[in-house]
Formats: sequence, C-alpha cells, structure tokens
Amino acid sequence: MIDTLKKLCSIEGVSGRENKVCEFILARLKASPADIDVSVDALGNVIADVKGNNRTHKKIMFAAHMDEVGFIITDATDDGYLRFSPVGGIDSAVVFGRRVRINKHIGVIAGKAVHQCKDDEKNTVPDFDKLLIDVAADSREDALKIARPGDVAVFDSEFTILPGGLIKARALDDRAGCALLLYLASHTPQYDITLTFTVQEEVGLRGAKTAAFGVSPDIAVVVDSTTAADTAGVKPEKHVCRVGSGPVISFMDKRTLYDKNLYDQIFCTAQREGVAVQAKTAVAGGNDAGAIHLSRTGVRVAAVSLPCRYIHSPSSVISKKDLEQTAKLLDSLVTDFAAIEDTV
Amino acid sequence: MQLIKSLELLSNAAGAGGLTDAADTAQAILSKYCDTVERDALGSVIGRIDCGKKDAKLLLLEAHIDEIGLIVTRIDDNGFVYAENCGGVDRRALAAAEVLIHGDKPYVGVFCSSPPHLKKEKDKDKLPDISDMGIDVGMSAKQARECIRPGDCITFRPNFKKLSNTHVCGKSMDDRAGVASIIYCLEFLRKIELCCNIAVVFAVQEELGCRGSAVSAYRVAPDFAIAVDVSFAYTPDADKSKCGVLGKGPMIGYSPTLDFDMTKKLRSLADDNNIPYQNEVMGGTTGTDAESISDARTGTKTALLSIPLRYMHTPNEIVDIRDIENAGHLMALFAQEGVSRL
Repeated sequence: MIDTLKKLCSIEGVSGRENKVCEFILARLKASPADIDVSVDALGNVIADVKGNNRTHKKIMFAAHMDEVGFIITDATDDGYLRFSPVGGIDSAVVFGRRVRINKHIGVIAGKAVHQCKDDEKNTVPDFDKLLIDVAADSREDALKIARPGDVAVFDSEFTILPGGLIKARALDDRAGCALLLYLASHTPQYDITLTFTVQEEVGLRGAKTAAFGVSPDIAVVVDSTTAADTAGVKPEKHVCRVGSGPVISFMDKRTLYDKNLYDQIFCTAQREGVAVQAKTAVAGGNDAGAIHLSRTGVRVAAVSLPCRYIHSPSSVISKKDLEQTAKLLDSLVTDFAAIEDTV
Repeated sequence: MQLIKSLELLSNAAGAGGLTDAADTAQAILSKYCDTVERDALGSVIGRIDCGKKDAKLLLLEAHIDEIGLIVTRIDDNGFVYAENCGGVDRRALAAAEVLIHGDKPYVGVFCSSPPHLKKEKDKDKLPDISDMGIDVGMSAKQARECIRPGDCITFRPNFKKLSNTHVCGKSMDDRAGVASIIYCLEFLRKIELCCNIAVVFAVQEELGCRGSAVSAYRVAPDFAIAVDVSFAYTPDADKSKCGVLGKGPMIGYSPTLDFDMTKKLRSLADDNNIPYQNEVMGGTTGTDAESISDARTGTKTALLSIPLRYMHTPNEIVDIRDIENAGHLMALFAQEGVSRL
C-alpha cells in the first residue's frame, strides 16, 4: 500500500485535472483479481462495483477524492513571471519560498529579499495577490511558452519516509484515501461494495454529488484526510486529532451531521478488531460526505479519515500505522455495515 | 557543464554554523588547482598558488563557504525540535519548509505550519517568532533526544535544480555561487603564465558577522583582495533602483570601504573585454567580507564583485550561470593584467 501511495502522490491531479490519477486507478482496478465493473462518469469520477463473496440488499459505497489542491495560472507579467490563483484552500503562509511543478518545469514562488523588506513586511505572511511564479523566463512570451492561462501547478515535494514511520509528501489529501480504496479493491470483499474515486472535492465536493447520484447508495463511507493539529506548541485540547492515534471518526463537521448508528458501529467494530480509533474533536472542515448525504432522497454517511499534519501544504505528514489500521478497519466495516439495521 | 556540476555539489553540501561538509567539498575541488590547501583555526579553507616570480604581489580571491541556517535549542516533550537563527533566515519561507537537522546523522524535518482554523483572525497574517516554530522530525521526545542535541545545526534540505539553460536554483547559492566563480577563475588561470601569487579563501561564519574572513585575511596578508558575494536581483515586488538584474553580469561594488582604483580597474577590464557587468553603489559599508578583509592587519586594498541572486536566504535561491562565469572571467583578467598595473 505504501508503494501504491508513493505512486499516487507522484501524479499531479489538481481539481478538474484528475485524468492522470484516474488512469492510474483504472489500471490498478483492471489488474485486480477481484470481479470489478468499472465506469467513469461525465465529470470524471471513477465508479467501481466490486463483487463480494455475499450479496446484501444495501448498496454500500466508499468514496475518496482523486483531486488535490494546487494553483491555476491566470496570466503572465511582462517581466516573464506567471500570475496564479490557488485552487482549493491553500494557506498563503505555506506558499512563500516554495517550489512548484508546472508542465514538467520548476517554478519558485517568493519575493524580494528579506533584507529589502520593511519591518511589517518581514513579519507578515505575504498575500496571494502579491505572489508570482518565477519560471526563469525573461519575457511574457517565454513565460507563456512554459505555461498558459488555465494550466495548473502543484507543490514540488519529494515523497519521504520520516523516522517514526511517518510519511511526508504533497497530495496525501486524498491520495491516501485512494490508496485505501485500491486496497479494498485488491481482494474480494465479504459483501458487494461500490468504490468511488471522486473529482473536484477541493472546489466544493462537486464530483461526489454526481457520483452519489449515479451510485445511489444506502450507506456511504468517506475516506479522506483530516487536519491533525498535534504539532509544536499546540495545546492538547486544540489537536482535533493526532497522527499515529488511529483512524479519525467524525460525528459532525461544517458540512455534515453524520449518521449516529454508523458512528457508533465504527467504534464497536474497531474495538472488536483491536484497532485504535479517535473521534474528531472539533466541528471543522468538510468532505465529500457533505454532498453525498444530500443526494436524491438522502444517504446515511460516515467518515473514516487519516489524521494529517500540515494538510494542503507541500509537506503533509501521515503515519504508516494509521494507514494500515484504517485498511483493517474498512475491511471489517464492509461486513458490519452490510449487517447494520435499516433505518427506513 | 563542469561549473554546474561543481555548483550542484557545493549547493547541496551543508555549511551552516560549524558544519564542515561544504568546506570539505570546496577543499576537495580547490586542491586540484592549488599548490597547497589548508584549514585555519576557525575552519576556513585557504589555498595558494605560487607564480614562481620574485617579488610577485599576492592577490586574494575570497568567497564565504557558510550558509544561513538554524541551531537546535531544545526538544519538547512531544519530540518537536526548536531552533534559533544561525544567520538571517527568511521567516516568511519557513512554514512547511523541509530542513536537515544534522544530529548524529542528518534527519529530514518539516517546519510546523499552524492550521488556519487555529489562527485568530487578528493574528492570521502575523508570522510567529522562529523560537516558537517547532520542527517535526516524526520522532518521540525520547527518540529525538537520543540523536539530536542542542547545538546541532540545521540547513535547508538539499534541492539543487537546473531551471533553464542558464538558471539554477537551490539552497545556499549565497555564497556557493561566489565559491564557484572563484573555481571558474582558477580554471582560466591554470592555462596561463601567472604574474602574481594567488591565495584563495573560502571563509566560514560570514552570515554570523564576517568573522572567518577577518582571521583568514590576517593569515594570508595579501596585497590585493577581491571578495565575491551575492546581491539582490530584481523581482517585480522590489525597488528596481536597489537591485541588479539576473543574467546581466556580475555587479561591481562601489563603496567608501572599497579601493576605488581596484574597482575602476575591474570596470575598465570588463569594458575592454566585453564582459557584461552592473554597478552596485553603496553609500556606506557593503555588509560583506570585503570590509573584514580590507581592515585586516594594516589594511588591504579590496574590491567586491556580487553575483545577482533572487530570493536570498530562502530555500530556493536562483542565480544565472553566466553571471558566475563572467565574475570568474573578470577576476582572471584582473589577476593576469590588473595586479601588475596597480
């Protein structure tokens, strides 16, 4: 799974440009020994019906998003710099001084030397509208040869294993979820399941909306990455969740009030399987569940997330152990959700 | 091509604070060109080439080998590493930046960035002090304390990359670009008959206050010296009048602290040989090793060349290879023709 994740993270897939990620996932699904029926909808969502050992009257869907945050080129300056806008929620604090990849070129986002800054400039996070991408071009014309308006860029960041079994890379949100869904597709599950690899999550949960309509599930489990604030100097009550403490289960976030029975079942399943899980202890953020639970006449949803430090930055950090434990939990949830009592 | 290879080796080597990797790398390259190479008490590299002529003058070519970085001050109970400046790191570029912590071996670390949801609206745009920014090394406090100790130095993670045919990008181009230009100069001088003795100093501790060059200059006691450092290249957010331009040639420095005859000589050699250059005029001191060399012992006539550089003191400093070559070429001309005429 780590190798799959590494490959997934090497692919660029800013929202709306998920096709390379899609191709990789389609190839992996095709290579699986499981019986899988695959389709791609008009927006680019990959929908994979995986035949299980047993039938159930419930349609159980798992969703992870293929897209990642990044940058979109809006124009070039006469000096040969590229203008850009962020795609998705990137904090401008993690942008200054970073390197980006754009059409196989390298660019740098920075500004005048700190020595030339006034005091307030030295102490302030630079605004997006003041930042440009330096692609070592001498003129507008040369810059536009490297990237044209509408082209996209991602942070340049090497997939690295840190001590303590942590993984550092860009796009872990949500290639980690994609890797977990590919794990579910790598063997025949206990019951039939539908895996959806969605597009455009970072620009408003848009792929999940059409995917959920197409799949029309009874139960959906969103497998995403979520903010872990267990970082330097943050008080424990502000951690939200902790890297290395197991999969994160949501009861509520800014977009969704999660199904209570599914939420409770996850904790029961985890305890039985010996998987340590943690509740997400803040009502913050949102994921594809926000779109899925409002599909058609409504869908019961749960979220199982990977705790991720420095999310939406070039150096996101997750734990290998959390990834493995989440895989184990998801396997068991297939059986338990197939057996869970219907509410309507 | 060889210049780019040397620059890659130099840029990727660690040289903040007391780290000696960069000096070792520079010494290995320098020893191919010099009769003798030694290290002084502070760790600077000193090479010498004897021209074999009686009463020959001694020309010092100097660049600093250290780089900006940080130094570990403590490890908290959750294993996060805290550090202080070791040179003027640009704080704006630290959140989510990757570093190498040089403990019992180099460890990759990531500067913590606080999640936006935890920032108060009024502090949202305020950068924290470096002493409050932890580094995530993925280890528990116990593990971290076993292999990382207060006093260990931190550099940005090596990241040298060619951006175009002439532009390269990486950490510590300040001042490995200067080191590379001196090596490029020695490559020229190797092919001609020298008329002066040459000393080369790759000085430590420039970023901490131009300390290494002061004691190295005392030891070498040259007749003339050229310091090569980097200076600000224009970016659209900067004041054009206070910047050079990348690719338009080395910047010849003018300052009350620099020897005006040497400076003019460099300028006329550049004019006569069609070497592109730019003028960098400073009303006071230059803030470079040129000052500490010029006031060593009873004083040394010193000039300053600067390689234009974008994004100084960030992990992604950009320089133009042509500027390094032209600086090297100009120094070689000075050694060949300039020294004898001053």
